[in-house]
Amino acid sequence: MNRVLGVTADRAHPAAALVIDGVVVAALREDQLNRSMLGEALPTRACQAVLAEGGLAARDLDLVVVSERPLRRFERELAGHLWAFPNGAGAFARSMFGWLGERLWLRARLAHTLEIPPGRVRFVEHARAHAAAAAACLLPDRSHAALIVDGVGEWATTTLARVDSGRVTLLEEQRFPHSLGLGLAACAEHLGFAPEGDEAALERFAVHGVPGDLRALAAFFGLGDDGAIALGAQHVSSRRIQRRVLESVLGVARNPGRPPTPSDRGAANAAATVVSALTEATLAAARRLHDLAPLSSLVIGGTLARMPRLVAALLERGPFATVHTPPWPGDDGAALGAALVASPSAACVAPFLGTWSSDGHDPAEHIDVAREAARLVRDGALVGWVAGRPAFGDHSCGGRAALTDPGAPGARQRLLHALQRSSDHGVTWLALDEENARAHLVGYDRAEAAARYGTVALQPSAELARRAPEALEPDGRVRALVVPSSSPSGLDRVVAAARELGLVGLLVTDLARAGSRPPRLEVDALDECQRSGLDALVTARGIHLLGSSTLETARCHEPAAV
Amino acid sequence: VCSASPDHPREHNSWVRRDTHLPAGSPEKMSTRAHAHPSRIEAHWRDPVRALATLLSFANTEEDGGRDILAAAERTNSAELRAHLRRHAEDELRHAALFRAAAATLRARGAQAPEHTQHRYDLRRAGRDELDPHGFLASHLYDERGEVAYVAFLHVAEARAAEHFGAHASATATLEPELARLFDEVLRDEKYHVAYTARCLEQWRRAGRAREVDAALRRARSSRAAIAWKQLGLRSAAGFGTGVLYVTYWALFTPFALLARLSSRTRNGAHNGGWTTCTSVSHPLEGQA
Repeated sequence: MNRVLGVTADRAHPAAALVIDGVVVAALREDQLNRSMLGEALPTRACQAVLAEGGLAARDLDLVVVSERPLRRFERELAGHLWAFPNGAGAFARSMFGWLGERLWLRARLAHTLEIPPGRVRFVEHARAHAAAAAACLLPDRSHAALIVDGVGEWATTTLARVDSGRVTLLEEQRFPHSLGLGLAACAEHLGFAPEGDEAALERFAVHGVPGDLRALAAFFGLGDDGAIALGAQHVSSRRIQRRVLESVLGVARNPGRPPTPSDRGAANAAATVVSALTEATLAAARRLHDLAPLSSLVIGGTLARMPRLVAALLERGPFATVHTPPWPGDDGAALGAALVASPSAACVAPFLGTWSSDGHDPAEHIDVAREAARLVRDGALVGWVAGRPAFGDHSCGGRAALTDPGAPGARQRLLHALQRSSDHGVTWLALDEENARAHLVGYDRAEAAARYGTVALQPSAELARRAPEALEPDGRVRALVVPSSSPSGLDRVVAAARELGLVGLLVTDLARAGSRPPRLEVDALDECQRSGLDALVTARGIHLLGSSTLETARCHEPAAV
Repeated sequence: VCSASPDHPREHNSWVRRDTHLPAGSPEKMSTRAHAHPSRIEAHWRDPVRALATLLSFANTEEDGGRDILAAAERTNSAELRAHLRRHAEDELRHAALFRAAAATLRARGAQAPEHTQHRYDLRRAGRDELDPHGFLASHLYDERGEVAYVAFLHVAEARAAEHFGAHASATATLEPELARLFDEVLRDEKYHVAYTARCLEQWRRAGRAREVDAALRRARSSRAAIAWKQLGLRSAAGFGTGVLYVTYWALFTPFALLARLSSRTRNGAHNGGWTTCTSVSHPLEGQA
């Protein structure tokens, strides 16, 4: 028996994944358990939770595989400080404090925490873990080209690879500081977005602008025709220099954490220019990858894989027949990838890998509940939906969702405002069944897997655009969340019930207020709903109708079991 | 469990009056003194950046506490304690909203929050099993230690919070009357929280669980003391360590940095970007470097 625990530690989203004989048992982000968004530590609770899900103790593990090589990363950090000298004494002190205090001793820390011999802790390159994770959602017996466009791993920033039956071969890479991901983070922060995690919002905002002259930005990135870039080390290491250069290219820096509104034409044009430059560079890298690995299927991982229009551009203008992005393109997914490098998966991996207990009840089992939820949506209510195991990755894939009618005027704004999120930058999906997706989404057959996890923006048919106007993005595309029948999220039954009531699909967003994660447990979901402006919550216990004065007015109706 | 109703009108605040008649030897008595000197607190509120950061931190603490307490309310079997905990959670969430509103007012006057904390690796966050990122309540405490320990922990924490908010209210009375009013309002609720937890503990004590209650209170107080002691040590170590690293940067790093700069000029191409062929690895799981 091959029992492997994959771990991402000391990065933005610590996570753990348990794989037994090629079967992914569970995967969890640490912030799903401790609600801390600070991250960057050992995923202690996530390790315990996935081991409990697998019925194992840590001593039963054969290997613990970490999704990066810490000594290589330390070497890169030291080199970065050398290049940035004499700027950044403070950054050096802070960074080295962490490295010398904790990060360098990752093997010992993990061995001590899990109480296993240090020899069982292994390390794998970050890009390799990303590539394995990116291909995990696809059939494991095929070959795929893998394009990893990340901030930075150890040294590698952009990596070209191929995955054959789960085995990853790294072909070429670009190295720090020449990083599209770090360049994007700097530009996003300059424009008022979060440097990590707001990629999709920046891309959506860019639709409101017109790309300007790319030459200045191309000079900043040092973009080459083959997708190679040459970013100055000083641009990455010194914030003062970075700010000065970016101001000359993108205009005055916006307030951090206050993304601009679409009426700010200057910012929108700057964002459009950034996104356009990055898209061209990624397309060039994809063409180079196709030359090295002339396959029909492309998988994308890393920071830039969070941009659904970039994925669509690769689909429409790139050399590959099919393009796929997993629901876990970030560092959390690398934990799963690390485990899969040691024990390749024997089947497609679905994202519903979290741990939870619902006392054996699941609302998806109650057809009446799904019908009632669909009826509430049709009547204009904002409905929370919690079913099945929580999803692993960036969003809840419909398992922890807030739903509304995509045809009702103003529904998108109401939904996002109820969750205290910005209607300019909040992400919504259109949940559809497979039949409607095939009929109404252009290019669905080439991006089927990506559309199933909501990671691509596709062109809708005229009929879909007419029937679900609230699901249209500013550029007329739709972020589809195609729900297959018997989905673990149970959303397929609500979608089917909504279709019976005449709705083409459901407008969906994560059941999470601004700054928080989708809840894992029912009690947390109820808490989230009570503090939001949703009208009802459907959970394992039934339908909670929520009043405006929250706690006292929650009522619970037991569903009739089928 | 706790005999009084939590649904009292806030204006009358009968709990606060009762609090002054807590039985002798009641679990925790509120002090009107703050640990920090009043002039230091005043200086703190005079600085708009620190004031803004503090208000946001208070908001996070209250919100996080509210979530924990709400989760605990869902878990308790006692209807009365659940009602108190729900009211308590509502208060905490309302406080969070009030602090956020005050922060927004301060921001509108031009104050800016400091950059995101760089202390993620600071030893100050050590002892992470006991400390939540924002505050005083260990996560899942209710599940781990049970009802009595949870209420005891709440009681000690709320008494401490009331003490702090009292100090802030006095310090801002002339400086920022609006803020002082906010602190007064929060303080009224905190007194209720202290009082209902005290009453719960007292009733458990009378019901023959005195040893359990005393042990829980001892544990709550000692864990606070231990954390404070640990934090003091860690802060000192962190400050000293950072200082040493600053010295190292300028003393030891300089020659290597100059060599690196010279090397990058002469080699011309080591860091010019472009694609690099990856070396094939036969054993991808070997080694850290």
